[in-house]
This record gives sequence, structure tokens and C-alpha cells, in this order.
Amino acid sequence: MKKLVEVVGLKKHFPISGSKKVVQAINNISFHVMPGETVGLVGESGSGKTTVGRCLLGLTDVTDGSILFEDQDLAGPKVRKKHLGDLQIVFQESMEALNPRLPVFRSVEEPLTTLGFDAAARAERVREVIDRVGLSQRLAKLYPAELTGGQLQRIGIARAIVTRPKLLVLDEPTSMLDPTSRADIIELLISLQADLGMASLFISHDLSTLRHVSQRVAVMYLGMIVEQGPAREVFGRPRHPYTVGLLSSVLLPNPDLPRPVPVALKGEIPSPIDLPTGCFLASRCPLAIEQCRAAMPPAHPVGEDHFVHCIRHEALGHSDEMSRVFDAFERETERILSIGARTN
Amino acid sequence: MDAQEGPQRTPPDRNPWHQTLWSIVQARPRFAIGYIIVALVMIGAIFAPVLAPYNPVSANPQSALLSPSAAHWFGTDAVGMDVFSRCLYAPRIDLTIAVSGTLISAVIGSLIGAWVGFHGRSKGVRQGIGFVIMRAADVLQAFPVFVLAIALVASLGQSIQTVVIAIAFVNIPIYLRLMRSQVISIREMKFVEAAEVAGVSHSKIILRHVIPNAMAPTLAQLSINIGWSVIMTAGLSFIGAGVRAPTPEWGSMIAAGFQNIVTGQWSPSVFPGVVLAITVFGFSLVGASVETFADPAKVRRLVADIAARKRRASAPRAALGRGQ
Repeated sequence: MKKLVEVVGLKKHFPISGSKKVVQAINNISFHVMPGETVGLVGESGSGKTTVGRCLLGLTDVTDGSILFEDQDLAGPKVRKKHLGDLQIVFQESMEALNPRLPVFRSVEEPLTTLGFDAAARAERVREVIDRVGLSQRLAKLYPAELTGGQLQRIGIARAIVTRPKLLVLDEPTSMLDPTSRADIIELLISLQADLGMASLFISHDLSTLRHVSQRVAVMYLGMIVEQGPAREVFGRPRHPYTVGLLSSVLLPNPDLPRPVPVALKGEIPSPIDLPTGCFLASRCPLAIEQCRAAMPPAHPVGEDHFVHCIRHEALGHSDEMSRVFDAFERETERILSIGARTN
Repeated sequence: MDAQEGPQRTPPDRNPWHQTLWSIVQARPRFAIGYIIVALVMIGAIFAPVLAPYNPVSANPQSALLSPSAAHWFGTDAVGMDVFSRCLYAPRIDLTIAVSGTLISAVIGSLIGAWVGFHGRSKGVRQGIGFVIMRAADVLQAFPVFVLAIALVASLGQSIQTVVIAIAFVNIPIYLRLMRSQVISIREMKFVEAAEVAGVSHSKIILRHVIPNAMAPTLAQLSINIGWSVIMTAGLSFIGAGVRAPTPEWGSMIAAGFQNIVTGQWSPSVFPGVVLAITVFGFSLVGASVETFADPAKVRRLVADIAARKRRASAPRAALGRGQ
């Protein structure tokens, strides 16, 4: 199957005014999204995951590397214009994502105006997507201040799918919502994807949500993808110390659940201005050896479509107990999400 | 929880508008005073031909420099023109100049400011143009406005249009900065980015998404600025750079009358001054009210005040009810 999006060697550096140094927000990352697939992008705050989404949408220019959409470089002239409406975004801040001075249906229909739809066709499409995201038509005439957070996020999704995009970038779409609306929104996104056959890039720091929605995940740390592979593999048998550390930090509302085997990451995330040579995690990683600090570890294939940037990934080991713990983690996640969904 | 139901709208005991208005007046009486002053001045100007007891420009040397009396409420000036009639006619000139000058500067300044603010972070030529515009505004603001206005009138020739242009010109930097600072923060909002993703053109984003959300401080500034421009118009006329003598205008009336103060005839100078001061005061009160209504935080405080008043008003009854 042809790749829908392919990101090759993407770099994004932000200049610091009054200094020759740059903030290295994204450092040479490569990944792809197949049509209809959900790829999860996970990492701490400041890992650059949101910037990846912004680069994809052209909201910020890239420093180096290329983004191919259906084999065409989006940086090329007119290419982005040709694919207008094929890429859409749902923002984290649902309130800020809608113009407070416009009734919400005006915001929803806006992406259609640039695609040459006439007023009647726009109204028809808007009606359709408002239905599709499970809101009553009455709400479309209201202003954003009159809607709840969950309703606003549904409107945000409606605006994104109104053009029937091929790729939906979901920038932490649930992190500002309470748990019940979160479960509703996740169920909605999953069903939308199944119906409309669109691919999505799900950016989140919430591992349990990502585990639930994505087929493949990429784990980001300081602008690098340290591990990527099928979600089941990455979450079930993580091969990078950082992934293990991230998974151990998940809090689940069940005290009986055994904690995953901890890989205690020491210290703070280094500054993205003065990045160390070698592995960025070396200063925090309990497994780090001298070699780790010497050079950036290359991608090691550790399974089908599963890569890890770690020379010590074998030392991480894998015990049966660890498997059991991650299985329990997975079941717990499913249980929590299904409780939320059932109340819908 | 049902995510499909909207918040309940139109509560059944919704106040009729005049009641709401009355409670606002009670909570913020100064707003009402401002609107009343502005309304009176406007009515006076519009119906001046009906209301004025004398022709404002007909001189009558026999009744020069009369003190205020039943026949001449504000007295008469050195050539015998009725000061009250002239005060009624004056806002026709003063307000026209002030309002049109301020509006022109607000429109031009806001549009330029929005453009500069929107492209402030983009690279290349646009940033360069923005930089030049802002530095030009700095230079403009470095001059004392009044001196700048005098210079403009002096170089362009003395006429009403020139005064309008001068007032518009000196006010542009105010609106430019105001709009730019608002737009810089609104530009980063996600709905602007959503419109960019949708491929909406920059000029349309500015007009549809940015300016409507950045208008509030400009509107408040507008009303305060009109009052201030009235002073400016009067000031220019006072020093002889604005409207010329027989035309009824507060500034030139004060100028014409003040030589007579030393000989005891204060009325031709003081009355236009007082009317001018009250008018400016009215506009700044209206400006304060616009600022309040445009700022959600201030509206919340106002609503809280009104609610507190209602509670206090109904407190005795409530206390009785609880006492059982």
C-alpha cells in the first residue's frame, strides 16, 4: 500500500533572538502514516510532538527534511494548495480553537469556503457533520461561550472533518476534557475514522488513550523519535529505556495493579538549546555506558516495523513479569475507557 | 451525562430590557450621566436653529458685552452676539471635526496596526515594512501632538478639512499601537491557525477573525478620544489655527472673550469653556462605559454589583422568610 504521509529527516530549529544558538525542537525524525491508519505520537511536554503536527500542517516552516503527502513534497509550490482540505487539525484548546465572535456553524463551514462550495452545499455539509459528531443542530447557531468543553471539542472535530480530510492531526484533543467527555470524544474519533477511512496522527502524552486508539506509535524524546513500532509491540514489549520509564510513570486508578518494572529516569529533561552529543537520554538513563555518550545511536530494527534508537536495548531485558504487568496495564486501560464510553 | 444537550437558554424570569438598563444605571450612575451629557449636546447641536433664541452670527453692537440675563442667558460677547446661541451651535463644528477626525484615524490606524501585528512574526519584506511603520509612529509620537497639529494646519492652509486631517494624523499612532498589541496576542490563537490550515487568505483572516476580536479597546479609546479631539479642535481655534471667528466654535469664543475678562465681562469666555469641559467629561464617561461593556471581567464585576444590590434590596423579606 502507498504511504499517505512520509516524513523524512524532519528538523525544526527555532532561532533565539539575540543569540546564535537555536532551540532544536525537532531533530531529524522520520516516520510515515498509511492511509486509514492511526499513528500515535507520544512524549513529555517539550518533546516536540506538537511542533511535528504544526510542520505537517504548514503552520510553521521546516528547517530541513521533507514531508511527502501522497508522494508529493508539501514544500513544493502549489502542492499544499492542491491538498487543501486533505489535512486538518483538531486542537487541544477547544475554547481557543473557535472564533468567539462567530456562531459555531460559521467556524465549521469556513474550510469549505476556500474549496469553492456554494452556500447551500456548505449548509448541507455542516448539517451532516454536526449530526455526525453527535450534536443537535440547534447548537450550531450558538456562540462558543454558550457551549461546554465537550461540545466545543465536537465542534472542533466537525470543522476538521467537514472537508473529508485524508489526514487528521489530533493535537492532544482530549487532554483538556474531563474523563467522561474524554471517553466520548475518543469513541467518536474511533468511529469517525472507521466510517470515513481517514488516517490520523494522534499527538498525546496520555499513554492509556494512545494505547487504545493507535495502530502504531512513535515515542518522542527531545525532538527525536526514540522508538517506533506497532502499538501492541511498543506498549507490550518496550525496547527503549525511555519508553519503559514513560510507561512506569502512568498512574492508573487501581492500587492493586502491580507497578510496571520501573526504569527510574533521573533528573530533568535537558535543554533543547545545548543538546549533548550522543544519546540525549544518557544523562538520565540507568543503563547508560560510555559509548552512549559518544554518538547518537542509530535505529536498530527489533521486530517487524519496530525500531529503537538504543545500543543498550538488549540489556533492558524482558521478563515474564514485565509482560504480565504491561498486559494488566492494557486491560486496565481498556476497562477505564469502556466505563467512560458506556455512560454515553 | 448527555453531551448532546446544550446549556439551558433564556431563563424564564429574564428581565425586560428597560429593567436591565435601570439596574445598570443604579449600579453605575456615572455612565448614565455621560450618555445624558452627550445626548444633550447632540440634541442641542441638531436642533440649534429651533432652540437658539438668536442668530449665532448676527452682531448687534448695541447689546455688546451684556451680563447674563433672562434675555441673554449666557450674556453677549464684544460684538453683541448671543453666547448661549453660539454655544448651542458650536458642537456642530467641534463635534463634526472631532468625530470625523477620530473616526478617520481609528479606521486607518486600526487597519495598519492589524496588518503590522499580524505580520510581525513573518520574515522578509513584511517584517521590514512593519518595522518602518512602527518607527515612523515613534517619530510621530515623539512630537508634542499640539505642535504637530499646528504645523500641519500651518502647512496645509487653514480650513475645517485641514483641522480634520491634522486631528486624524496625530491620532493614528494611538490606534496603530492599540490594534497591533491586541492583534499580536490574537494572532496566536488557535482559531486563526485553523483558518490558516483551511487556506483562508491573510486579509480575510485579519478582517474576519482578528479585528472583531481586537476591537474592544479601540472602541473604548474612540469615545475618550472624541472628547480629547474636541479639546484639540478648540485649542487650535483658540490660538487662531483652526476655525475662524464668526463661526460659532468654543475655542474661538473663549479666545475672543478672554480679553474682556480683565474688565469684568467674564461670561463670553467662561460659558463656552464650561460647556466644552462638560462635553469632554461626558465623552470620557461614555468611553469608560464602552470599556466596561467590552471587557468581560468588568462586565462580571458590574453584574455582581447589580446582584448585590438586588440582594440588599430584598434582604429584609428574605430574612423574614428564614426566621421561621
